[in-house]
Amino acid sequence: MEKVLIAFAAALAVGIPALATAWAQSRIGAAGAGTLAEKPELTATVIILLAIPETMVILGFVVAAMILLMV
Amino acid sequence: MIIRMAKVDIVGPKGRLLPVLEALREIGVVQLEGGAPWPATAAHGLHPLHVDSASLARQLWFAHLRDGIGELCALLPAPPLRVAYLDPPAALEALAHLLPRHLDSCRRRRDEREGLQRQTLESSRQAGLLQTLAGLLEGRDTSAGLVQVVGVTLREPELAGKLTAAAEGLTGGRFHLDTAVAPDGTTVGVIATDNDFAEVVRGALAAEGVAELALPAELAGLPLEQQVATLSRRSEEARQRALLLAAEEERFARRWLPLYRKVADWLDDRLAVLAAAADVFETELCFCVHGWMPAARVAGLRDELEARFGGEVDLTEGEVCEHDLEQVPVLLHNPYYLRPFELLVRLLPLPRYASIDPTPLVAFFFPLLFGLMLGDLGYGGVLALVAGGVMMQPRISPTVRDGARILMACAVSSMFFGLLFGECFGEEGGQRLGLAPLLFARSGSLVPFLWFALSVGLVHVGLGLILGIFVAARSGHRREAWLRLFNLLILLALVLVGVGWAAPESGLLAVALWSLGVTIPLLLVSGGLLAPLEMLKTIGNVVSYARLMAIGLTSVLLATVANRLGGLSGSIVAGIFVAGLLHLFNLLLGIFAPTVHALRLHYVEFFSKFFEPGGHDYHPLEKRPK
Repeated sequence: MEKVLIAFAAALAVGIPALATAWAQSRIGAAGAGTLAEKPELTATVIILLAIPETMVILGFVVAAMILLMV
Repeated sequence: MIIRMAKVDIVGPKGRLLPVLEALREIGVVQLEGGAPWPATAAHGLHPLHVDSASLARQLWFAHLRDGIGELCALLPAPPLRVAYLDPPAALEALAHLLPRHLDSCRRRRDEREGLQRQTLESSRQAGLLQTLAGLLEGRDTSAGLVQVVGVTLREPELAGKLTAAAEGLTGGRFHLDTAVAPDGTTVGVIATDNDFAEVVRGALAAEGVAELALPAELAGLPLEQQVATLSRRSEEARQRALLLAAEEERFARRWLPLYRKVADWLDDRLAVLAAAADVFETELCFCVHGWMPAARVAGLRDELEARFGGEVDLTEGEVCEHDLEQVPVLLHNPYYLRPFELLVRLLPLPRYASIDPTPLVAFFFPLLFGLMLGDLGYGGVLALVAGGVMMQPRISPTVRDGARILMACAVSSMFFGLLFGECFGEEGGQRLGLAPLLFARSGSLVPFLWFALSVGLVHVGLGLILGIFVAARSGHRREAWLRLFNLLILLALVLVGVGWAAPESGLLAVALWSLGVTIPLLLVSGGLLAPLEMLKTIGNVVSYARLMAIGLTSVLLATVANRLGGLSGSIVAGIFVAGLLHLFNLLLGIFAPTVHALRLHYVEFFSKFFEPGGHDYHPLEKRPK
């Protein structure tokens, strides 16, 4: 039972941030594509904006990996 | 690095203005500065150059002539041409006189040729349709006059079914439909029906937008074979006439185009110089040009002007003041091996003059972070081969070549870290090659890898803060410089707290806590109540480097999955195929994710500490390659 709970905790740790990141990136991606169509010189800004929400899932992954390997 | 710029004034007699501007354009180092006269020279009664009506009329005439020549060039083909040696100013009047007539004849010739080309296509298409129709009518006897034949062209073959259903309803089944595909791909249909229904069927076809086979009126009444022969003859005649006109165009182009191009080049030069005159100032007798140029080339330009104008034109270098910094153009110049990384820096606005060009730092840290994330000898080798292949292509754009050079640096870094982690297409590949991890094996050393990633982040962000202190101090923003210094000190104190916690016997914990106790109040004094927020942001910046571990771990785990799945297949060929496919997928991810995240770590975490955007690109008055 304990293993199940650990696995469930790890899944939540990475799953919830993944959903949040996906939602944020879908909004930013659509707006960014529109921006680049009109102002291609803003490529770097759009890349930055698109990569910012990935921090959530990356840190979620780190936490999940630590739960699985260290607990 | 950002090249040091000089603020220059070039002064001379007004009669020498155009030759001086031509010389400056030829040398191509001075960026003219229009707007208002600079304060140091405004006192001498300088005002913007007044262009008299005769000069303006001449300029407009040049522009009109240039437009006409441009249109003529667009109307003509471009065969290999001789070089013209005429003197453009001497030929201007004559060519301006000839141009309207040449334009008129070229337009007429072009219109006629295009009409003939359309006629050729249409006639040969109609001949093809009629031939197909003749094939469908073969063996039918329509001479008795009891049956009429309606020929149609169908946009899509599927329309035949709908046509059948419609004709069934209109004629009560007293019709026959045959279809065939013409040589140009059009579907041709023939509806044979009683005379009584023919007009009804034609009306229904017109209402449905189905095109009845249309032929020129003069061919009506001729037998089908004769119609086909007439159309084929017409098509051939039109083709021959179009070829004749094309040959005439080419003869004309060979005779006149070199002259027109020579004059067009001269006009381009003259118009560019006249446009530059808008940035010139004058007094009653003199002209004055303000501008910016690389400081290292001032002496060379002064000597050049002296040699060309014999002391009539003077160049003086002014002092660049604090209030000029917003106007100074920025020119980046880096060694050959660092220059490709300007591509990544130029994705953002240029750095301000008197700030720091981050290109050398990006050239060091970008491949380092990329290699740390990909970190595989095999993947790095594949990337090096791809980059080398692109770099060896003889005709590629400079941007693609720079991109390939960046990829090569990243590939070498990946191979280096692959050796440190003992990975070649995953850890299994490294074990088979006998590569022992020199640092640690990434998949089994989560915590050491995390600390390593955070340490890299600490060094990167710390360096950014040190540069930020330097930039702020140099710009006279002392408060900002102190704030960054205390941020850096608190960051280091927090590291000491961590080390002291892990090793209590070292006694570092007390030192670290004392340091925090001193620096936190100083931080609040220098940065106000928002300073802790800035501090938290800096800590968050360092934690953000945990992504180096996360992406690196996914890379090695995906490689392991590829190797194990390949091994499970039970067949060598299938195993190689499955593993190769998954490794290819991992490699593609391994290019994309590390690039985006290494860029993000630079742009957000690193640059935010010292980078000052807002520089203007340096655009000297120069002849641009055509």
